[in-house]
Amino acid sequence: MASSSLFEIGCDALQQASGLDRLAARGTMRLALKKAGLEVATLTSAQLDVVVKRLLPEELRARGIANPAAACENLTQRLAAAAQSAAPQECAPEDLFRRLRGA
Amino acid sequence: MKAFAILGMASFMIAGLVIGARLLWVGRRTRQIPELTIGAAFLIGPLGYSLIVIAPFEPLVRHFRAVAWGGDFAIQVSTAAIFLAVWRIYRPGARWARAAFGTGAGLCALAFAASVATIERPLEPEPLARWLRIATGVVAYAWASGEGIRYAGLLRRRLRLGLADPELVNRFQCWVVSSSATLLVFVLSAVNHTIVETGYHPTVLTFQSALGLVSAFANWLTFFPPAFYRAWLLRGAAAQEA
Repeated sequence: MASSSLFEIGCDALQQASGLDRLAARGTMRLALKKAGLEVATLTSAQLDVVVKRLLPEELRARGIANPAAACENLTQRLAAAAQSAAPQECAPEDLFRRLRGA
Repeated sequence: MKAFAILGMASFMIAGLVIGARLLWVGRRTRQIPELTIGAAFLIGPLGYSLIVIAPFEPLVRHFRAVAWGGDFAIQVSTAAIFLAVWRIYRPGARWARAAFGTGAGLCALAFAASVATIERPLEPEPLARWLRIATGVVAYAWASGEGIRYAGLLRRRLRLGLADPELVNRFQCWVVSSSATLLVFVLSAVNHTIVETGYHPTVLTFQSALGLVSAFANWLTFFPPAFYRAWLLRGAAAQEA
């Protein structure tokens, strides 16, 4: 399955904000998404924002990043501009129920 | 016991028809595959089973084969629609899921072909057709149930972060209950046919009927939960947060 553009944007931003190498940044992001119960293909910018604020600081601390809060703040700023234009790659299963609610 | 068996199966069929028709009505507007496929599966499946049940009786018995084939065709289209729905809802971008749908649909076509080739007597399909019909149902609902369990687990993790609402989590949990209950109905069909040649052991049939009731109720809560139930869920979630 191809990665979502939002996931790629998040990984690139994390790499720049934290100083992690590409592989470590992607692995860290995948672990954080897994802990949040999120999937790469259906990731939205709102979900990514919550992951960055609530889960990534702990993940970065575990990888020896000196100031995870500052790195996440930096990441949030980088994502604010870049992630707005990115859409999820696939419809999420729960979209069905959103449509039924509107019916 | 016989009345309970009829009640369970009737509830399963009527709920399927009503929910299927409502989902198709929504799908007519949204043009989205999930509601169209599930709606078709829920509507066509019960029609197929109804045809199979009424095929041996007057006046249809004179056209027994055609009616039974029509019933089997509807059942297999319904099962293939479940394969399609699971692929498109849970794994639309996965190649293996597309292959699984193709394999499942092929198995459904094979089951129908076996039915056409072998049905000779009312209510007693030949072993090959019977076991293929059961196998397609088991595989389709096992996949639906497994994906539902996995996704409900993901949503429970999201709930802790405020990324999912309790009603949504409950809908997937109810969907798991309905899929699993339907899966067990098919599994018990296999048990039924193993125990007695006719496939109508009264105790097993009672369990199947109970599962039919559970599945019908869970489908209702999954797709069209009543307002009081949704309010009750939200009150429970608010009380937990407080």
